[in-house]
Amino acid sequence: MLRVVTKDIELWNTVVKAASALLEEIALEFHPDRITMRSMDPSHIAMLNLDWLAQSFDEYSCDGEYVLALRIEDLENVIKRASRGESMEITLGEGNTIVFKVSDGYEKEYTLHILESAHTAIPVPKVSFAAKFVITLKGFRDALDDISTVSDQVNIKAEQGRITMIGSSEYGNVKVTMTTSTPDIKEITVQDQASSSYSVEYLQKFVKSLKSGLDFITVEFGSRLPIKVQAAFDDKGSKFEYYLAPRLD
Amino acid sequence: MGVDLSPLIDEDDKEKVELDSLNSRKLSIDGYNALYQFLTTIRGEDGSPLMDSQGRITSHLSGLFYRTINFLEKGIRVVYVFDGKPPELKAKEIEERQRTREEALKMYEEARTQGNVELMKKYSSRAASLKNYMVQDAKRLLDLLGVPWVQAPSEGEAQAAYMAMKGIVWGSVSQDYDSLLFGSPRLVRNLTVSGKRKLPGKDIYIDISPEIIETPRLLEKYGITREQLVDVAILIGTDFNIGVKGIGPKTALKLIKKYGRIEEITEVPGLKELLPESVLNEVRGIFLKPNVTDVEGLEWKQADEEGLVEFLCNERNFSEERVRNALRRIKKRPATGALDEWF
Repeated sequence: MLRVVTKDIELWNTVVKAASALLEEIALEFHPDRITMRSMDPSHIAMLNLDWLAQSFDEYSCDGEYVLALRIEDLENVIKRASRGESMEITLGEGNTIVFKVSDGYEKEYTLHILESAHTAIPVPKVSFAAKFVITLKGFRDALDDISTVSDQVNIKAEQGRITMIGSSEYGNVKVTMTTSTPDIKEITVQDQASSSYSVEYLQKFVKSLKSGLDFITVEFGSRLPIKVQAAFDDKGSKFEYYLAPRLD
Repeated sequence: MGVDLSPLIDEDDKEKVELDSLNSRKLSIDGYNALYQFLTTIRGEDGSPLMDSQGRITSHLSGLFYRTINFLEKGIRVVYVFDGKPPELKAKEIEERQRTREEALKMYEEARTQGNVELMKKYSSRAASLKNYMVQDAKRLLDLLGVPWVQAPSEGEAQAAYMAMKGIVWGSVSQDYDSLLFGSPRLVRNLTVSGKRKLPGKDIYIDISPEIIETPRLLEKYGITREQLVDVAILIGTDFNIGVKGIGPKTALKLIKKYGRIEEITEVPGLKELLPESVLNEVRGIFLKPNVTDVEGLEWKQADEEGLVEFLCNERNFSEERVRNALRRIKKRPATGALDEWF
């Protein structure tokens, strides 16, 4: 038996948008206490790691373990039809289907076929990050937008109390400097100085998929190490993480 | 040459992919196999190899340089693995190859005397042999390109497969199927020959794209273990033993599936004499416990442009414009790594 209800359609939108930038199928794992999803894009450059706890839903009941693989395009079409404030209920349907009921005044019911999943468990990267900063979602989005005006990669540097994001190309250079006194910054922790470059496009795709209402995101990285961007869905512990491999320059 | 397992590999077993889809993958390439491919396919109109002003062959360098640039441009990180000392059992195979080459060389000379260009082309590539200086050239070129290479203690293909098995690389690259026997979980074929290729002896060109064979899937399909696949290969014949006359890949597979291992086969008269226990053990050992070495700290560095121009253009008469243009392609965009490295 599976029944999950939420009024926060925007969070579903976040998950689906982030996944659609990397994948064609999504395998959602429903456990008795949470929904998880861990997937990498085909070239293994980026990974999504979702941990969505039962207490973050309005209603959550799951009596076993279910891996439900869906075509992202289908799921996107359903989510698009739901408006903010509507409630969405997910249940298992007949004949290997999943049913989405969206209701606000009247009820809309969508049935999607569950795909045969070739889902295999993948680990999260084992990384000891050298630096961490907590920044507003808007602040990080703006910084990436600034960098993208000249370059498709961003070099992120961490020094004590300072994070620098640099983009450079034949068109010019952009340097965004943030310190602990920058209003968008909540925290900067630097264990070791670090510098690494990442694809702006990949980072933008993830942060742009995140629900605008989210306040802060946590960014961790290290020299020649992947970057991890973590968005907390709420204060109950649900989180959505994104890992991106570094550029090899 | 390797064992001919092709009749056991159906189209469904090969995943055809575009070079782009291998972006960010680390691959170990059987270096001798790749150089030999370049040497036999990169040739002039009359079949003669490319040469510099001093008569030194440069086909291998041309293939290695431009093909590796292609890989780097696509973000594919390759490491070349070169053969060390061959196993003693390979001596006969090496002798046989040498004899074939000498015969082809005679035929080539005959065709040249007759002015028969078609035959010259045919026999010249058969007569091609990889010389020590070519391998040294290749290593020097890779150093200048910033691409790592590994010296295997024995068979390069075994070392490349071992690196894939250990997860140091994502897959191993070879045209031979021996990689499957050496334990590579993922064999990538056609990587060094992909593109438009002319069919030998015909005026027909075909598109060759890289293909991936997943060893566990293949073994699962046939319901056999890697050890049993090695037994299948021994029955067919490998570089290290002569196969049993009349037993092809399909029959060999049927026999191993029925009896489990060569020693148990009762329906082939004289099998014990043809494949005595000592040979079985030695050949099995070559494939299942190959002489390989652990590899650490593979590093892909920036190419040394001036060093490459000096070597390829000043010493080996490559076009400087072409070499610099090719290098510009890999300067444009640094590749992104893959997350697998941190699992």
